[in-house]
Amino acid sequence: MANLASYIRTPRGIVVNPVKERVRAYHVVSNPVTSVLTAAGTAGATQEVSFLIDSWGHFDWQYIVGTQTSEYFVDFFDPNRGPKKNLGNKPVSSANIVGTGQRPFRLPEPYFFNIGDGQRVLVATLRNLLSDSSITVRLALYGRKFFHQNAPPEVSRRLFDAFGGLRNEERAYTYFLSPREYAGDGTPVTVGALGTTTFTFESDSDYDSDLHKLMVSAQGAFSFTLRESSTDRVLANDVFLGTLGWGTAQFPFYFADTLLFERGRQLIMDITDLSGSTNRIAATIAGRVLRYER
Amino acid sequence: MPLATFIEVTGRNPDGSVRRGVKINPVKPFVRGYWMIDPNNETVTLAAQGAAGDSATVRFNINSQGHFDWVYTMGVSTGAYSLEFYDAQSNRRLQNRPVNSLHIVGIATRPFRLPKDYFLDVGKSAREVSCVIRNLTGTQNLVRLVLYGRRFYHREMPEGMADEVIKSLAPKWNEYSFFLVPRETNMDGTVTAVGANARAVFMFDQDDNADFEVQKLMITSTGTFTFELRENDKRQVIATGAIDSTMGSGNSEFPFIFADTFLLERKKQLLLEVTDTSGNSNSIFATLAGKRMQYR
Repeated sequence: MANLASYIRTPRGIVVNPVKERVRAYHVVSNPVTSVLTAAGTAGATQEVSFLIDSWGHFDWQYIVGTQTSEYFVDFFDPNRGPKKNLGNKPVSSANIVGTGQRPFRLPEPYFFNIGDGQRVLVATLRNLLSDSSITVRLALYGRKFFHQNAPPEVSRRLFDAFGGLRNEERAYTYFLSPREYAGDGTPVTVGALGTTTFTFESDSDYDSDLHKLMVSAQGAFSFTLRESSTDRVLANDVFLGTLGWGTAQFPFYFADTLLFERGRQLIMDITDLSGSTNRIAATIAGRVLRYER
Repeated sequence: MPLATFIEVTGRNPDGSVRRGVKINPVKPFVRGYWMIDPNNETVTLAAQGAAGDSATVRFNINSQGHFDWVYTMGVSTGAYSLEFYDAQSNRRLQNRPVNSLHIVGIATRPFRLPKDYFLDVGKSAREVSCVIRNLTGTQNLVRLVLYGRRFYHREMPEGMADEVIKSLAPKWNEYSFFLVPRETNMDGTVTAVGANARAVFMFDQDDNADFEVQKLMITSTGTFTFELRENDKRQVIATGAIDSTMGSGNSEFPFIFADTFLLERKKQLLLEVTDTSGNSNSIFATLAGKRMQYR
C-alpha cells in the first residue's frame, strides 16, 4: 500500500496532510515479549503469545519480524474474524514467514485491525516441532498505527474512509497455504533419500485467492514441478531445482504474475529429493484470499 | 506488473440503487508464472576454459501452448560462465558481447529481473531463445539455466480475449532488454586483467541504430579497485571523485540501480575508468543492463 501523502495541495497552496500526523509506523510486540519453547514433544513446546492492538487506534499490519534461535512453527489466529479465524490452513515454518528488520516479511495484503470502540487481539501459537533443544523466540508485527481516537472528528472520519475500516463487504486478507499432507500441527513431510513425494496445495470451497510468493525451508536439495490439477497445466517445461523456484521469508520468490487460485482448486507439487539423505521440506505459499462476506 | 486478480464492478439493485462489488479478472485464470528450461540441456557440463567442450548452446523453446513474457533469469553453476542470448525469430542479440553470469543470472531468493519484460508472441507456431554459454573457469563447470516469466494460455481464452491481451502486451515500440559490456571484452567473454595498481579505461559503446536506457550496473572483479564513470562526448564525470568499487557496483542478485535511468544515446560512449587498489592483477567484468530502443 502506498504511503499517505505528507503534503497536499489546497487552493491556498501546499499544506501538511492533516491525516498524516495521526499515522505512525508502529511495532506491536508480542506478550510475552520473549517465549522459550521447550524441546519438541515436551509440555512447553507449544505456547501462545498475543498481540494487543490497543484503543489508541487502528492498526494496518504489514510486516512480520522476529528473531529465533531455531526454526519453529507459527499459526496466527484472529478471534474477531468471521467464520475462519486462522490466517493459514496449517502452522507455518518461521523460516518461511518471519523476517528481520533488514528484510522483513511483507504480507501479501495489509491486514487492517479496526478497533472500533475497544481493542483487538491477534493470537499466535508457537510450536517447537523439530528441535531437541529449547527455542527462544521474539516476534513482532509491524505496520501503521492510526491514532484516530485523539484526532478531530473530521480527520478521524477521513481515516476510516481511506482505509475501509468500516467496510464489511468483500475483504481480501493475507493467507498462508501449506500442503495438505502436512500434519495438523504443521509438521512437514520428510522425503526419503532420492525419493519422490507429492504435496497438494488446496484452496477451500469458500474463497478465491491469489498466490504471490513461494518460501521453503528444506534440509537438502530437491527438484520439483508445479501442476494445476483442474487444467493439468504444468507451470514449467521440465523439472528443475528448488533453489530456482522457492525463496525464504527474507528473500521470497515472487511469481511473475500472481497465480489466481480459485475455490476448490489444487496445485500439485511433485518433488524429488536430490540430496541423497532424508529431506524434510516445509513449503509455504503466501497469498491473499477474497471472501464474499454476504 | 501483475495483472489485477480482482476487479471492481458495479451493478444495480432491484430498487435501482448502485451496487459495487469485486469479481475475478476474466483474464487472470489464463496467466501463470512459468519456468522455461531446455529439457535437453537441463544441466550442462562445460569443460575447462580452452578445452574442447567449454561451450554449449541452451535452447529455450516456447511452444504453441501460449505466449511467454520473460521476466527473470535464474540459474546455478559451479563457476562463472558467459552468456549470449539470441532471439532467432526477431533476429535479435540481447548483448553486444558475452555477459558474465555473475551479472545477469540470479536464483529464486534474488532473481535477476530483466530491465524490461521480454514478450515472446508465439503466433501460430513457436519461438526459440537460444543462449551460448562458455566456461570462464579453469575447471569443469556444471550449469543450470532457467528463464522465468508469465505464460499466457491464449489458446484456452474465450474468443476475443486473446486479441485484447496481445494488444495490451505486445511491444508498441521496438524496445527490449539489452546488456552492454565494454568493447574491451573479448569475444569469448574473457577480459584482460588490469595490472597491479594500474589504471585502465573500459568503453561502453552504443551503436548507431539504437538508444540505450541504462537501469543497473554490475561489476565483479578479482580484487578491489576505484572507478569513475565519464560521458565521453561531454567529458563529464558523473561523480565528484573516484569511487570505491563496493559503492557503485553490484551483481545479478544485488545490482546497483542508477538513481535515475541513464540515457546513452546512439553513437555515444560511457567510459569506465578503473584503478586497481588490490596490488595484484585484477580481472574486472562490467555490464550495464537496460532497455534498447529502436524506431520501427
